[in-house]
Amino acid sequence: MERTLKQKRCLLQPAAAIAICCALGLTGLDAAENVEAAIEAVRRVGTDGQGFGDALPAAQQLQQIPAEKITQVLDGAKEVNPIAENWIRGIVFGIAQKSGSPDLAVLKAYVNDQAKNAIGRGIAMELIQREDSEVAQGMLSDLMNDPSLAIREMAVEQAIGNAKALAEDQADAAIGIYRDALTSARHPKQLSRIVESLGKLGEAVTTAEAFSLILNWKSIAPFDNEGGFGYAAVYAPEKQFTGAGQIDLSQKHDGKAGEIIWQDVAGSNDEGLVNLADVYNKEKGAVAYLFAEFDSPEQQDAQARLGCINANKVWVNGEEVMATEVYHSGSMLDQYVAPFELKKGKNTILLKICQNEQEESWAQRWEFQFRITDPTGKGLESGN
Amino acid sequence: MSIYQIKKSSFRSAIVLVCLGGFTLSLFSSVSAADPTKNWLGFRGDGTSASPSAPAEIKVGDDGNVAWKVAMPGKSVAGPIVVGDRVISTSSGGQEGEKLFVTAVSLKTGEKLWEQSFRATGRPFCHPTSANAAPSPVSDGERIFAFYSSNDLVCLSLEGDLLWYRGLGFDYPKAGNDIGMASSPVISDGTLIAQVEAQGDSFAIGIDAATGVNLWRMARPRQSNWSSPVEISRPDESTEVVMQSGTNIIAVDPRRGNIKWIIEEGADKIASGTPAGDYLLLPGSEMMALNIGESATTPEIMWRNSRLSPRNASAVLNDDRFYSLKGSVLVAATVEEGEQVWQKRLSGLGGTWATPVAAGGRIYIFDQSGVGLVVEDQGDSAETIMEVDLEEPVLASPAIADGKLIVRTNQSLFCFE
Repeated sequence: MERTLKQKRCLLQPAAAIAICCALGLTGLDAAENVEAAIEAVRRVGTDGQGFGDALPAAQQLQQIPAEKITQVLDGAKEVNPIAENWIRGIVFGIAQKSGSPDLAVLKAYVNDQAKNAIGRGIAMELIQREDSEVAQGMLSDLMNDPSLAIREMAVEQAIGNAKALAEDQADAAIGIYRDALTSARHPKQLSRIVESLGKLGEAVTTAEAFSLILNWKSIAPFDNEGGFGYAAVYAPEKQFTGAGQIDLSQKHDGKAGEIIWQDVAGSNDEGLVNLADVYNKEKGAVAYLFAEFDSPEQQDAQARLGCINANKVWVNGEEVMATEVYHSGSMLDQYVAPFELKKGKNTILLKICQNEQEESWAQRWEFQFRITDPTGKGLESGN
Repeated sequence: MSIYQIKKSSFRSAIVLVCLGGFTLSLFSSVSAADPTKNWLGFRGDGTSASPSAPAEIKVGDDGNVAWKVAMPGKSVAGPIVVGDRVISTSSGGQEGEKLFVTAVSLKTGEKLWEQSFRATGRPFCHPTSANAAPSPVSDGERIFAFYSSNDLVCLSLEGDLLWYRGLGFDYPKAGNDIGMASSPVISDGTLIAQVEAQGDSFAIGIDAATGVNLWRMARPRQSNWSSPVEISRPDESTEVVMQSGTNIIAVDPRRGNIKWIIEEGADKIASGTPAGDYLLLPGSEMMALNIGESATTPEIMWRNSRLSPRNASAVLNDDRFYSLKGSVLVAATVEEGEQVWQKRLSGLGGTWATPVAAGGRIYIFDQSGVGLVVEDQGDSAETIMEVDLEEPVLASPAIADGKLIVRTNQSLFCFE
């Protein structure tokens, strides 16, 4: 839609537009274009306080507008960064606190319009939940595959609750709901809870299967990591992979205490956990490299997802996608997530998992879980 | 910066002032931060964990003195604060604690006044006993600053309007740890100061309270550190913020971030320093007392005593003496001499994380199962005079304001009067 010259001015100079409003006493941001200019100022906030000079007065002004204009603010959440998303959330809830929520029918229509942005629809769904939880429940029963991850998560949560209520007396019905939820769920915690619940009902679903964890690896270790030296050291497999994107798995290398070779290692069938401490006899001060191939039927956006309590690096097709030098400071599935692009056909993955020399009993784990997902978190299987 | 940029910047500032001036006056209220009996503006109030008066007993049930109990929207180990007639408490919920809440309730009635909700932009993970809502919020009497383990930082008006939002975990993605961060920020000279110290990107930061932008940021030792910064005042009324770590103790100018003095000695990484009049008590392998002294001098170490250092909770001040909780043993000692006065084994008390609070010669202590004790300091000895079971974990330090004791459990907020 073509904007008027006045609107363009407002977009280019949001602070100026807001200042004019102040001067004219239009504290309610009555004119639609002024609301738009204020929203634009908020949309521009970024890291390190970037854009705050314009956004501060804009946020205060927007929190004075009437509730019926909330959808305009929700529209402003389209493709914003997470900082701007929170500014918009705060403004929306600020308006709702003062003026009440907009009409439920308006919010329902907003949520049901999948052409609207996912963040704005998710916030609208939260407003509905706050206003009338029964209405929200009715809507969520049809939204388990919603493109908004926030709405999908709410719908899956509701389904888990429904299945739990049925589990004792109507196990088959509960299993059916859990199975549907397993297909729809993207959040790792929800997936884990569904797997656990299905297990209690006698359904054999493993975490490894539900998450599409990669179980089979080629591994070589130990290289030296005494004093933490190995994290930054570029040992031969890493040099080969980052140089040529390939590794010669038949090659022997000089390890920490002599010649070492590549060998097969496998993750556990249930949790998909690759336990390097077991494989390498609880070696301390050591680096392990792990290699796998992954076939993609097409070029596609993807995410590398690693759970690892040790310092680590991940490369795909020779390019580094994540690096974290933190030891024994918590671990869980999908702990580290990084985007990358899968190419069509064979892709290669190299992990570097470093164990330090801490002696405490809680510092003995040397292990990881790894998977590749689509950008929503749906696990991808090699070859599919 | 070019002249044009300076002018542009000044113009924007002028706009902000023009716009904000009227609104600040007309829309946002403030409270006097001067009266410590009415407010509890941050972790441990003014840093001492002490207040003149609190209820003589804490009792639940029909004959109890619970003024109100309110369910909170999520979990928390963050201490509540009191700003005028509002109690502010932070919570986190969702699958991993990624949903962030700031809730305001009436101190008098417990009625929910407003609630804001955000989404973590940093890593929300933490140990199961902790929560993303772990650092205590803080207020300058005009604004509320809520900080989380994920390093998200929210600034709200007292009415719950969003003033600004920072995602320090988004700005600096390698900051934080997955056991959970817990250092509570402090406000000094119009600056919010936070210690974000872990094995990854480890730093301290000074953020302008009014605008949310960085005033300074400094690298810190790459070690997990859960202790909180502490403001100290010099006789000339200048202020410094003291930050301890496992490596050293430093004091910075709050506005500029330049180091005023440094002691090359590690201190505790969990329990924080306690201002005590002319002294600052710093826990570590030994409890250390610094005499703050004149401006532009490095404080002098007055005494050390290895028997007086607390375990997890910070030391609590009560006039000329302080209390250290060492597991289930409470020790009282003098501030000036660092001499133990009494020691009391507290039967019935389990593991403790919450820093106790003190008022009227009584110490209020809660363990992580929700058992609370009121211990009376009787001069040369101490007596447990009351025991209560809130039946929910308590890891947050309570607040005291207007003679009321506010306790944040895992999922609820209690007010005793």
